[in-house]
Amino acid sequence: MGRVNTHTLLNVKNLEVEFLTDRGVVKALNKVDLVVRRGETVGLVGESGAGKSVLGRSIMQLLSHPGRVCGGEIFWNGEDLLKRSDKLMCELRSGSIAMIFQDPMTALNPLKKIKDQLLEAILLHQNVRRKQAREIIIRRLQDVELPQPEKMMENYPHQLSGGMRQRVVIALALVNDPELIIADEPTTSLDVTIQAQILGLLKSLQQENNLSIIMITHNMAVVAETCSRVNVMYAGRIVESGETVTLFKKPVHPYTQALLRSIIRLDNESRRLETIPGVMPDLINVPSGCAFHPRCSESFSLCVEKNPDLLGIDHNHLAACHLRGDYAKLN
Amino acid sequence: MPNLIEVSGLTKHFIERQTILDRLLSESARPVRAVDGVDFDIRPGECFGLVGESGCGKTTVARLILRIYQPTNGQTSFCGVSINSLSQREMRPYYRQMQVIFQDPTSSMDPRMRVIEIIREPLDIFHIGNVQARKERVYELLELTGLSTGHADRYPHEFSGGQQQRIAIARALALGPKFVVCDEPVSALDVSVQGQILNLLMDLQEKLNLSYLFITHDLAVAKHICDRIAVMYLGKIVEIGDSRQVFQNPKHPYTQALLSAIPNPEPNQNVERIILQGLLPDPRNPPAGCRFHTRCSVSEERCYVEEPVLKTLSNGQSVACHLA
Repeated sequence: MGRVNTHTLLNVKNLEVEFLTDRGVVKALNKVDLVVRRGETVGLVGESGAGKSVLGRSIMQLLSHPGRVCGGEIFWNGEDLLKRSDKLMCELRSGSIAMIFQDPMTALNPLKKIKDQLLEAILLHQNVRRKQAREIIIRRLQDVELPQPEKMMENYPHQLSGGMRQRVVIALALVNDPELIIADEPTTSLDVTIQAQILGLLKSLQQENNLSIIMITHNMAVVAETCSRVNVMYAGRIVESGETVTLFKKPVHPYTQALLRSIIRLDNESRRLETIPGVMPDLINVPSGCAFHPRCSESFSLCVEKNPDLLGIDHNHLAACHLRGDYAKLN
Repeated sequence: MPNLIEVSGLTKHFIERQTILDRLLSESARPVRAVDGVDFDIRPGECFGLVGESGCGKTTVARLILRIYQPTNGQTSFCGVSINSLSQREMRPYYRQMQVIFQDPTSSMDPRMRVIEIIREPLDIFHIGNVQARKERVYELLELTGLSTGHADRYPHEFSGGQQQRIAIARALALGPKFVVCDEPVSALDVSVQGQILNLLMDLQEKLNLSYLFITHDLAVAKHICDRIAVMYLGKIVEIGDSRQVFQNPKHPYTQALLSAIPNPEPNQNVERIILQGLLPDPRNPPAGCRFHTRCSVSEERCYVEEPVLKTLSNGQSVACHLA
């Protein structure tokens, strides 16, 4: 998982994001903390609507109207990104921080050749001549293991298969030697065989370039394969966070436990599949107290009244549940 | 018991439209060999799985059985009757017996219709019962699929993905079919909801004695719900058998690679992966011999020239590989 050192690359503190809609205020992120160190892969998991992508987009400041950051700080190498001007933010985007989106068809411009899309990104950020840029393109296309890069770069996106397009998107993220890649469901629309290829590719690229990756996914198995630490999100909050091994072996929050139980495993013997009853709440109307209480089998009176804070359970292991850790001791 | 569905030599070649330029350059059109000679049968009350990568022809097989496409070659029989040569009018009673559930519930339902109208539409088309009877049938279906009668007057967008899929299932069951094609019914859903829909499909299968053709690229899902599975590669079936057997003891190198590509939900277990090299070949121009030889790690001389046929092994598993 790369050389993880203690240098904190990204530090998100108390981030709050809301969307002002006709129906009311959607509280998409509620006091979210996230730390990414150099060289590590951090996972963000949860069901759809948990706020994973919003968190990724807020870091890049790519929130579309009517979304806005209404509180908190995002430190990048010690500098608060929220105080940066738009122009300076542009330099960072797809420069030091790059993003890989879920659907490679919509992330690429259908009217431009692969070559031109990569060229645009390079010329925007690096002071190089076209010839040098061309060499960078070929090198990066080779890095993502695309066959015959010189020929391939003359193609339009529709001429490539889904897996190849996703490789182009990864190459696009890599051309400016980023320090952090935010991968938003990078393999969700791909077949398992291609998924295995792409995850392997991301891992080796990470080791070579000492990259940090934020892996946004709803697939717990992808987290287990790639991440050193993981954050579980529910209704706009991080409800549990810890080292991947600990979190998978000893999940503490009832939501994490339920998520892990509902994985359909190959070695599953029982006929009935475990599920989580109910659905993720509407973020305009978040339940009182702990947002998970209506779906939680262990909830009690306090859960309805008070939203638990994210507190330490163990070394590097945090959870927001009234029944666990410090809360359990307090009560 | 006789088989519900028997498919033999089913083939579908799509011919692409040629432009004038193509004709002037006299490039002859190469058909896309989407499905190229497929044989299998589905027994009553069975869940038959079809797995493989995207583009291998899974959905085309389903559409051929449903007569959405006309096959280029081959036979499909339903309850012993060959349905390929039937006219649309003659097909009508069979359409009642076979229904389909699609992957994406939002795009498979008219957003301007209320739930009651969506589920009632098949009943309207087949003129079943009077207004009151149809309404009662819709309520019955809503309850059967775990929804409530209070949902009847709402629109699809008011529901979550899982609930929308329940509406789609209710619609598929409206005519009381024997056979339901489930085309990636849970791929667009969250894991926590996937389980709910799969449990529902299994309950309904038991209660109504349904047969499913279950199409999926998620092998864990296939193993869980299917009694037998067929693995497809580039328009051909490469392996077919009891799903437990196929998963425990895959014979075809492609099945082995597919199984080993599944990400492991246990962290820190470095499993040896067979990573398939290269890409799915162009179905206009499939490789000679065994179609998988371009990506196979154990292929030998014979695989480049001679196409393997599906042969049945002693345990009932069938596999199309020279080396098995």
